[in-house]
Amino acid sequence: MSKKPKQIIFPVKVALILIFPSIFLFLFFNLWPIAYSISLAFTNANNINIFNPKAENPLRFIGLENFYKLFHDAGFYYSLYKTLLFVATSVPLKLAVGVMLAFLFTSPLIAGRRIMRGLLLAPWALPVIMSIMVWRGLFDPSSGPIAGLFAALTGRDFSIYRHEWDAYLAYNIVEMWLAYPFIMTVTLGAITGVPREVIEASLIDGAGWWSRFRHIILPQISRPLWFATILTSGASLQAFLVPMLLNDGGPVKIVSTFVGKAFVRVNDMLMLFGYHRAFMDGEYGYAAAFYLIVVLILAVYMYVWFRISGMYKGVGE
Amino acid sequence: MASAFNIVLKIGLTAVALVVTLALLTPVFFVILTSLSPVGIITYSPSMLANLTLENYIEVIKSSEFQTALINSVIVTIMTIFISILIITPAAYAFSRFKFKGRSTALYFYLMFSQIGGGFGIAALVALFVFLAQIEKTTGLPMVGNVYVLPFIYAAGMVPFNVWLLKSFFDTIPKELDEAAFMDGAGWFDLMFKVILPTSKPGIIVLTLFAFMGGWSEFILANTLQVTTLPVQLYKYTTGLSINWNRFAAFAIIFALPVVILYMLSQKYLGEAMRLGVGKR
Repeated sequence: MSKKPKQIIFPVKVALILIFPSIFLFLFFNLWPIAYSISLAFTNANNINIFNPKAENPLRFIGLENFYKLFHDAGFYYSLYKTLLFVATSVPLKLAVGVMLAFLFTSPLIAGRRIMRGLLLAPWALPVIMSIMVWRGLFDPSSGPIAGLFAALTGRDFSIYRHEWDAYLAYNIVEMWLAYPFIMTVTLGAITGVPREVIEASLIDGAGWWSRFRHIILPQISRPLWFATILTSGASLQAFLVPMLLNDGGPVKIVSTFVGKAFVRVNDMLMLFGYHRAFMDGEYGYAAAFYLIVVLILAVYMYVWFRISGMYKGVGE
Repeated sequence: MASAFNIVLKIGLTAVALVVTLALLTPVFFVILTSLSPVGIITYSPSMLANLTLENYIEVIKSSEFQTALINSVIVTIMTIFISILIITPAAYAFSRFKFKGRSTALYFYLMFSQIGGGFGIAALVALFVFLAQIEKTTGLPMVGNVYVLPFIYAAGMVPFNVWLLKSFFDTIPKELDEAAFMDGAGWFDLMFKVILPTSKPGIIVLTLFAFMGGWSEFILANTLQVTTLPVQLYKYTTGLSINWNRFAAFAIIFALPVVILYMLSQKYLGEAMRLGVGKR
């Protein structure tokens, strides 16, 4: 039909050769460990029997024993409680700071606001792990200026290594610092999306600043902000680097829950709790079972959020 | 009257904004000033500025811990870049041009995985460690603590998202280009390296950037697999019994500098990537 030269044939064999190396690496280092992790969850694997078949307690299938143990582990419930609390406090903090910054820096009355806005993206430009460790320096009980400031304000010593809630406060501050550029950028993008004419028209109609915010700006930013909230609360739920690098989830304490008492690292967020079970206790099977449950929790959490935001979308339109 | 009020408001708001900005940049000032202060001192007042010194940087660069970590980081980063380009580019090209069974299933799976994979990374970390340690035990090949294994894991982790990314670049290159080269008698090899690679330069640059950022600053895997790269060594600085924050700060800045510079330079390329439709997917 067409005068164009015959279409070249892309042989399937060539395609498979081109794709093979990437698929192989992906299966080998990503998918296989996931499958292996699921199978480990039903074994008594630990750092001795996994390498030595003649160990006293040889590697074997133990059914749901790990899960039974997990649901009777006071440390697990304390970690779950701390993690949910962290979501409940850090997410509003991140949102409040990010949104307030966005509104402050849209004001045309601020000289040099573009430069300042650029500087405020510093947490994005720096490697996350370096930022967290610099914060560890700021919170160092003996030399850190912020620890010193808090100590002076409260009149007692401020220590992320010795006081449960001092460390918790530090986590919230650091998490906020790492996340505000994201919230700020999303909000700024949405605010700038409000057409100028609409605002001018509302001014002519005599709308006050509150009704202007309520009826014009809020509808415009609420959708992107919902989406940002879902993502950033997922990040809080999976907090790992912040607790690990600031004080490794410490300090340690005996806590009591409805299933009994346990000696725990009081700020072990869920992700870090499993890591410690594997690499501090050497309980690989238990850690794998734990992560299986955590992944389920994450999946449910994300699902619920998306349902809520979906319903919200239906109502808003 | 109104304009006088406006001027006052402008000065007031600008002052507030400036204070807020400076307060939020505290960690940046802290790390820079600490790195330039003599050991044991953290500079916070103007009168102390006179004592600033480069001694920490010199000591860090001279230290064997830094040099070992730097060499490890350079090996890991360069290998990650090469491996990821080598495996991802051909795969993305195949997904863009070829029709084969399971193509859309694989693409869909990659997309799903790149959205949720990150969160499950730590969950699979335990199994990955056990898996590698077992290979080491049964075959005698060193896996844990092996600097040459890490880049393969990083590149594998980059596959799902970056195959998508590069595929959308290839989709924007007209098929006629391939056909013309093919008619001129070019083989597959020539086609890939003389026609496709040069035209997809922005895509490859973005891929290189991601590979660099990943290889240079990844911490959890490197720490778990006991490869002392720069971030792992930096962590070791903060966990000792007596912490030398001045050395730490100098080390941290040397570590972060390439990332910061690349972040600034790459704005242009990342913008270009978005324009070419990567963001739309």
